[in-house]
Amino acid sequence: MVEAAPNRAFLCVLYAPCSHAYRFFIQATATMGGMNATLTQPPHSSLRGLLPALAACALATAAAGLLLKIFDLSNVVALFLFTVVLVALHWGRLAGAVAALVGVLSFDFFFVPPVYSFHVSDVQYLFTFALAVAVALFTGRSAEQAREARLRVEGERLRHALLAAVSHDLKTPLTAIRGLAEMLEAPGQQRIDAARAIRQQADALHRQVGNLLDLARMQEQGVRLQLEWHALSEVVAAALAGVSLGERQVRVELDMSLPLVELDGCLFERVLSNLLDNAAKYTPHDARIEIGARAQAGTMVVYVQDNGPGLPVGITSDALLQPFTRGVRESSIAGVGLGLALCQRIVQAHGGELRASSNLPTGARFELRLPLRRAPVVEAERNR
Amino acid sequence: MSRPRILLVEDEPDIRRFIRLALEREEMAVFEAATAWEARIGVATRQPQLVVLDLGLPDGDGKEVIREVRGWSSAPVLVLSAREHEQEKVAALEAGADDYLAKPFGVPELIARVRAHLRRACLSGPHGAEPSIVHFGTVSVDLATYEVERDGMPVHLTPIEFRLLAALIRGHGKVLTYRQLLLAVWGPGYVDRPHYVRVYMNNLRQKLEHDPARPCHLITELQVGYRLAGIGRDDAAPVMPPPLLERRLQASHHA
Repeated sequence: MVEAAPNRAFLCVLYAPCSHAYRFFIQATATMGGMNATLTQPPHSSLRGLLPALAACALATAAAGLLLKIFDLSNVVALFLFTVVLVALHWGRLAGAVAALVGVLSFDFFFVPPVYSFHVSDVQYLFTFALAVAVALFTGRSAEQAREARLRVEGERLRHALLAAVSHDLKTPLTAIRGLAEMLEAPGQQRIDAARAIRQQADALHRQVGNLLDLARMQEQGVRLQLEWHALSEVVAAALAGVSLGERQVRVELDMSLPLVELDGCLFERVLSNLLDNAAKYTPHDARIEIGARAQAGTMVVYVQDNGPGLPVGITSDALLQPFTRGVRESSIAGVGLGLALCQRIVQAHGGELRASSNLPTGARFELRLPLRRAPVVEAERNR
Repeated sequence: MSRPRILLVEDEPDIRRFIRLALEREEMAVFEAATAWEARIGVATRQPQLVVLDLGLPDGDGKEVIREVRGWSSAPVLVLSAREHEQEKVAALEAGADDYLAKPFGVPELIARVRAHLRRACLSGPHGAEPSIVHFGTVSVDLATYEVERDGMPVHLTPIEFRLLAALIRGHGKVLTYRQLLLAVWGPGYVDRPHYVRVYMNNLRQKLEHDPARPCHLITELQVGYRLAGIGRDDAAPVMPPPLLERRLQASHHA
């Protein structure tokens, strides 16, 4: 066991550059093949994988040419086999088969004597060729099956989350509205309370439906921005006017000399009102909320922070900004966890980023950064 | 004094019912219309002092109704619209609407807007004169002498700032689109520069609002335009001619 440790360390050392090289390989072949692929993107079994397959074979041939100076021809074959497996894993069965075929042909043409001809002097190579094609087909098929299973599970999970979220968060206010409407038949103060509560629930429902529709629209058509040069103070004021924060104190920290920012006013108001709404939802009724902005080094920083209980423990900032992630599961607090996800999408569409962090000593802080472009000139007024 | 007559144009019966109840509670006489066709007849026969109009009607576009009605009536039009269509709001305002409310809206908000428009229609009506001194909050503006005071202290406005403020005052609390303000203050060469209005509005707020970050009077209607809220008038003040457009409308109304 004592010798095992250095071995493992050695493996780790070896693994890191390999995994980098692997990522590089995938990116490079995808780029050469004219595809904008990332590792997380589900691979395609259609014709779109063909160009990367060809690019991969070209890379492998070039590498084989270099390696041949050191290694024996029979060892270089392994490089082609490796390429075929990678292509099959990433671009599906068809691309794998194409890579196998092209790889075999290029190996035959460039390396198998007589060189620069498709003629094969040794029949043993035919066995190698057949093996390469078989490996490609086999890995391609298994990869495809594994991928389908993964997508199925992922889709199932998302559908589940959506159903749970929608049924909980849309049904809760509806139940309340119905019950409260029935309470309206009661006399006096109860009636006034019921009426007020109905209005609040309707507002909550309105916001949820708005978020859901906006997010669905953005998933479908992408975010379409109607960019104009805005005074941030106006957008903040509109957001503040649109949310109900109860008795919570709000402080606005805005320098009125802030430059104009180019943004979609309505969508950005949505971001700020969601952040404010979020702050109100997760803080006690006597909490303090602060919204502010400042310009620094080519960036506009806008933040919403509170002195409430802070971010939920064990959920990362990234996860918090995903749809269907909620601070408190199945609580009385309404919200499908779409608000922050929507904010994230809108801010990203503006070329900015949104981060959640802890506000010291207590509370949560959401900060978004927008790149500042030079505002258009407003001609100075001639003084008369 | 007779009860103000309101024409309510909305195709959804439940919405029509609650608006009707809310307005009737405020001692107003409400006439209903469910289609664009009924709306045209209603405006002609009932001679309402104000029209509440839903833009999405089953038999036509509400904007067309506004345009037509504007040809022969100066009654303020309050548009009801679904929230997401900012362009739609701008188009309705430029077709001649005076104000809009986004659905879903609250009853107090509706009543406040209806009252404000009735009041100004009454003031700037055919027999009313335009007083030159106007108040909002602790600010008073004399349109004839270009003097502006806040909390009793004189405030210096640049010529453009004053023209912008005057345009909002002449709007009598109606929402003015960026285009309308740019045309009125800067002229036709500037209609594609909404940021001019934003910069000067920012200046005005700093000079006239107590908390410029949370304005009470110079109100932004995001991506649509601005309106002046809480406006009051000094009725004893000397006469100021109404703006040209309004005079023309009144003339055609009386013809």
